[in-house]
Amino acid sequence: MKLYIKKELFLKAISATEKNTGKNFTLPILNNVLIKTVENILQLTSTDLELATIAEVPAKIEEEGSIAMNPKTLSGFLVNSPEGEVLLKTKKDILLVEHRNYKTNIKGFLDKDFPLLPKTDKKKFFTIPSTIITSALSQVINSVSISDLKLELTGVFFKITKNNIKLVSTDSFRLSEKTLSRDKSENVNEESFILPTKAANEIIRNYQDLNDILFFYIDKNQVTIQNEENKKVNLKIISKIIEGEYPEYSQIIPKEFTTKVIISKKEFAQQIKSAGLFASRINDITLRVEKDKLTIHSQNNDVGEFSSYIEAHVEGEEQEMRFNYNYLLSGLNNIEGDEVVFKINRSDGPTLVESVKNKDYFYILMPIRK
Amino acid sequence: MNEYDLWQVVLTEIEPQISKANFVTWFKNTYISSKKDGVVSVAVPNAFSREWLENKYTKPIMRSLRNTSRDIREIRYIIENKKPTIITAQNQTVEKRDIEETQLQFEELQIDSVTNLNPKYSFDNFVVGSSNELAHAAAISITKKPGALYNPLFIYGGVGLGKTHLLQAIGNTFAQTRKKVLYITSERFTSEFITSISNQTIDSFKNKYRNKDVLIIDDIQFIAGKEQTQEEFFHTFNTLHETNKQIILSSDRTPRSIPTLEERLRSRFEGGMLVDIGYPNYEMRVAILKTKVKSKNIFLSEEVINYIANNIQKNVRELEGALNLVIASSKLNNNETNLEQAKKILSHITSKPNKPISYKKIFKTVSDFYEIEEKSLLGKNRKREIVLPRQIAMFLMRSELKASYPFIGERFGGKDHTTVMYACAKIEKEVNTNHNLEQEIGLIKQQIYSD
Repeated sequence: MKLYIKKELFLKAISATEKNTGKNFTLPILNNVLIKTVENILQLTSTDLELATIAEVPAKIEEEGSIAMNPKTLSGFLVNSPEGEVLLKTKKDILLVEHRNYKTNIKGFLDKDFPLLPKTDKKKFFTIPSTIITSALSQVINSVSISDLKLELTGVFFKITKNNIKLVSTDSFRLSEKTLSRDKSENVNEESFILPTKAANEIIRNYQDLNDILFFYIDKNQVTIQNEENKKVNLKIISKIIEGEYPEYSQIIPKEFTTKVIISKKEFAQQIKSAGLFASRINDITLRVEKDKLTIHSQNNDVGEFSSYIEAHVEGEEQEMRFNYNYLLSGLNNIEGDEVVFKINRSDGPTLVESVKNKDYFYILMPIRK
Repeated sequence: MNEYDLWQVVLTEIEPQISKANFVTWFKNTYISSKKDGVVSVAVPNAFSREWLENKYTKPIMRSLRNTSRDIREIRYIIENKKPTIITAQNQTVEKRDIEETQLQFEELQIDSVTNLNPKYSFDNFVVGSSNELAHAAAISITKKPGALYNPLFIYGGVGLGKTHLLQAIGNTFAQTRKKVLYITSERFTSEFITSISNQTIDSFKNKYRNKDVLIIDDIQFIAGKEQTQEEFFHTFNTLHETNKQIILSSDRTPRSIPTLEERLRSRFEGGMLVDIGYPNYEMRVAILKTKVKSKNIFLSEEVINYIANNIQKNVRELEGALNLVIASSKLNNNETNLEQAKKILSHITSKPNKPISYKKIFKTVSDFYEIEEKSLLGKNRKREIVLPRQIAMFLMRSELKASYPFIGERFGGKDHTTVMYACAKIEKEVNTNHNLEQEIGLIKQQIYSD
């Protein structure tokens, strides 16, 4: 292999793929990134056999070839070297990198043991702007379950219908749902799958700064995400889909409420943070809905006691509830806009939180028993 | 040689040919999923394994397969994972302890999305007593010989007595032996049926119900009056019954007392075994409370338990409600609840005076129960379907309201008091001999007093 490539493009491709390496002990080749020429582009691939990340960048290729490399040394070296074109050359399992007055030999591996990528079936797909899907995923990702007890809950549920795409996540204590409108001219009708958290994080990380259209190709066992081709840096993510049926979550969403409270999000979040300092071992704080205010109280016998209130627009009955303040905060952070509305039924049932203006996202939270 | 052994032979032959890392990575969790007409389907855990085995190892795999079994022509790779062992209620409670019982969860998510079963119901936490031991014994015996003994098993009894618990316990027992189980209420069956008609997915609806090993339908009485659903259910029932698949049904009354139930369904429901669950007696109520207390890992004194059992006599659900109230207050005050406190906490439940009931309430409940119009109950129609409810209504006015015979006669459109006397005597006599009638009247009374 012999080629010239712009340093910043090469570095971008490495940083896109290197996150997904370095943890496999049974098959050490997986700790490497595969560097390979494909016609006039350079392709970098990493995989842990559940998720593959592929970055493609243009390069001046003089000799075809490939090599597997641990990305740490390579990226460390490139970060500190000047801008401009880099020469890459392989000699068996050694990669030569030459750049102005720098010259290095880095030990790599032959690629014969590097996994082959599963093929992508492009029959069923939908498209969505990268900015929209990455911000939507970040709104739901912190409600995904971290316990392996129910595997279906360890990913983000995508439910695609004729009119929209819903992203749902729950860890059985809280639930997030985001609704996105979709381009109806596309050929996916009713489709659903569970995207593993790792893949969701990889999508957020890789595409959030990109302003592009993303294609989601849905297959029986896997989903492939890629941006529109012929950009400077093309990124592709192939992920397995979590097996199993996602629970019938719609039963959880309360339809009617006895109390509605509208408050300023920023002020409320600040007070919760302060109250959290005085929460007990189970992270509990107490909220009391009164006539035109919301009071917050927390107490820890070893630390002290906290109370505050915030002016609120209240409709309906007075209420008192206990919540885990961490769950409350992460829900608030997911919500867009300055004002949020709390919809409450009873102190031991689900409470729904959403933005006053934007109704495409909501967060449902279960309280702590009194 | 079976598929498992065949694959073991392949693995032993391939292992020395490749590096250990490769072997472990690519052959872990692989197995032969099926072997038919010379085509072997190899199950692999993910798409990467499929790609790799297909491209790199098909030749050696084929070679060693053909060494043992010459007729193999083709290998297919499919992505399939063996199902993890079913999570039982016990496993789950271990996990729950960590966060104690304080952080509440969405209960709906505990329900298994394939079988609709809630793992919290099991035979272990079902309290058996004289009022339900027959039902329990029948349930246990069908879990041992599904489809063979009592098919269908029809369990009936009033609200909050444990029908659903028993049904789900049967389902969970089957689910653990990897039988295809489906639990559903008849209401949901109906609404899914309607959706499938409007979405034109009737075939997948049929498939869903007809390929089960065990079908459990709760509250089957709600199917009454829905003709097309009954028709569909009739065929589902027959398909399953003919292939000896177990069917379990529950209802708040006997098939005979479900009005507007088609005759052919009625006779099928009665063709298996009919068992009832009755009201728990004092000893059983104490036993139920003790089991609940134990499962919640708390302590409650004997006298408090006895007090609750003595004063809440209706159904198990209310018994549990009262218990929860007492527990909640003892947690709140951080001390053990004594008898005096328990009395105070439960005072608003136990001392609730019996709301006076009116004869109008009796008319309404009886006519609702038998699905006849109140008008005809009070009219002169002498059809059997009308006469019996009319006599029951008279009987109830006499026994519950202590109304005089002439008063009752007057309310029924000026009937003679001897007619009323005859009716009351007749029902009273029949109640003692006819168990079904006794049950029905019990249910009607329960509804009269329920709110």
